[in-house]
Amino acid sequence: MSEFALEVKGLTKKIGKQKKIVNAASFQVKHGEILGLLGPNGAGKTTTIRMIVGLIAKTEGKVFVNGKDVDEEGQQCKKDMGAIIENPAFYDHMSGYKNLQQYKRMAKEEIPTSRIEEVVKLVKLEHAIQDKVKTYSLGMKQRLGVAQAILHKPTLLILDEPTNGLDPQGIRELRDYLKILANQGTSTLVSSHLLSEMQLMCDRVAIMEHGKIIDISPISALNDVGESSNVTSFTVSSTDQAITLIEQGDLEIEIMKTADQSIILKTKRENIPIVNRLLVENNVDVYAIETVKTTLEDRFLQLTAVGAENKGTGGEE
Amino acid sequence: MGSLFINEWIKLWTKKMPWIFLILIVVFMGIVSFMYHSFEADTALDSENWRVQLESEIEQDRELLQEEGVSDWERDFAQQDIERNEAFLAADINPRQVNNVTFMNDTILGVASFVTLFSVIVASTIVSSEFTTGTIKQLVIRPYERWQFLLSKFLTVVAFAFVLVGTLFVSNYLLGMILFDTVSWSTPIMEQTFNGVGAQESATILIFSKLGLYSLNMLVFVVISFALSTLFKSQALAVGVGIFALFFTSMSQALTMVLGDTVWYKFIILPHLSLTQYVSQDTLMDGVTLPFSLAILAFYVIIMLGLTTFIFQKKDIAY
Repeated sequence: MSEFALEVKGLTKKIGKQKKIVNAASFQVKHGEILGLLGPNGAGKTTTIRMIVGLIAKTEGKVFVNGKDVDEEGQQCKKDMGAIIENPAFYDHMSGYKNLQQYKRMAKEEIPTSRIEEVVKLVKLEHAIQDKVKTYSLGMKQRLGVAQAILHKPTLLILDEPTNGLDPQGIRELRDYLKILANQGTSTLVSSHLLSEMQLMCDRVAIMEHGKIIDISPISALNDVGESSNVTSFTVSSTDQAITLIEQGDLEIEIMKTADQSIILKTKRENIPIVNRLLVENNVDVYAIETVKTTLEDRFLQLTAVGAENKGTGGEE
Repeated sequence: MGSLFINEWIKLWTKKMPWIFLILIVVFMGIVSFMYHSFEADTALDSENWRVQLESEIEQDRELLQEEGVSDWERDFAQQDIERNEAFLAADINPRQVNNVTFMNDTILGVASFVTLFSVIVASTIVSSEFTTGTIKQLVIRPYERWQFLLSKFLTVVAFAFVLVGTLFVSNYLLGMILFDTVSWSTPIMEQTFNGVGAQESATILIFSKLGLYSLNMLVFVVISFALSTLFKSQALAVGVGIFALFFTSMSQALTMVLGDTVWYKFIILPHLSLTQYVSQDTLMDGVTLPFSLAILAFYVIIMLGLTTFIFQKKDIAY
């Protein structure tokens, strides 16, 4: 068994002669891990995923599923994979159950009928499974999508924008299934443009922009950004006066931005009371002191801004 | 592979469309049968007196030929009539007998165009509907080669087409038994053609060769529509071209007269799309026999299916 459930090496998709919509993307999904593929619309996430599952041809690069090369053992790899590509599509004129039977028959290893009931129960569709799919809500279709993807017990689950069009309740449910599956040892690659989703769902996040993977970090690392150097907002009576005082104060303080009634500082935790005292003693009224938590969003914006700069200085081949 | 075929078969029959097609075939067959029954009963000659009747017709035609002031075309017509009637007498076949096998021989292909039309519609939608609904992406990520999906779909259409042909035959047979006298399948029938007298065969050979040759042509239409809808993902285009080809073949006999002498005409697909002509004639045009026609059709079918499979195998699916 290979170390990774999914390994992607130098994956590239060229459209026409020049345009690379995916450019040498490389990442790995460890066993039992949920890896998020995060990026704005048009970054190349969907194209990457479609190349992995074999819907579109790779221009360059390699994909390994549990150590097996998809180019050489395609059917073996597909047996190990389950996927939802964007909104799951079904045969509307058939019941949910009959749809699942279709996928049951397509599995290479015999699936017992009890397995259908098992997954239907997991996605809580027992009451509607005999109804035609055209009567389903989007959330129910998404749940049926999860059911068809996990029916054959894949070791690798690939979800492309699974939260698209789902209400908060549906998103929450999806997250719960993924957690359950991950606990059972299923590895997951999930793409999204929703940062908040990734933060709650994933173990690690690969950030993609302009077809390139620009950063891969554990979600904990992203969440922890700014712990050692707190970003703090002071709401004061006079921002001009406050800035002058802080600049004269000779402390290790970075003034990040100033708004109408507040200034945002980046400094060590110990400096916060010092700044407060400095302001109060010099007759600047302090109305509020708040810690601004650096979120994944800031990290993301920070990284994509870097990405954009790199591109400007000839990052493109 | 077998499970893919079962899947396709189930997907097809859980729709209303194929059932409607089956019912329509039976209904149309019924309409044609009752029309035939009411018209043909008037001209029928009974089994006792038909020889006397034919002889008197020959006598009338002979008198006509001896009269003065009869136009040329009337003479020709009378001459042909005499020849035909004499041939019937010589072969001892009542040309205007009406029974279940003559009924079948005359009407078996009466609504066969609908069989082709319905098969073409199913052939045009079976692949493209997967693209329309987006279910194609959930198919091709399963552990099968893409050509296996295509083959299972093609076999499903072919099987459906034969279900329609079977329905056509069975409903025709039953209506024949209900509406007309039942006679032996080996009853000889004189097939009448444009040029007067045609082949004299037993009913079995005539009916089954008509049905068989027609079905072969139908399969070619199915292949054309299946290939087009897969290549261009357009149901409208595939149905349109399939139906256009279907109606165009009715002109092919006329075109054969005009273009039959050119070198290339016998190598294009068109003249070979009306194989049922071989029931009453040995060649479509100079040197073009049934095996030649079948070889030409096989060539085009293999090219179309091969190209479709090749392109589908490589196509990026981005829906």
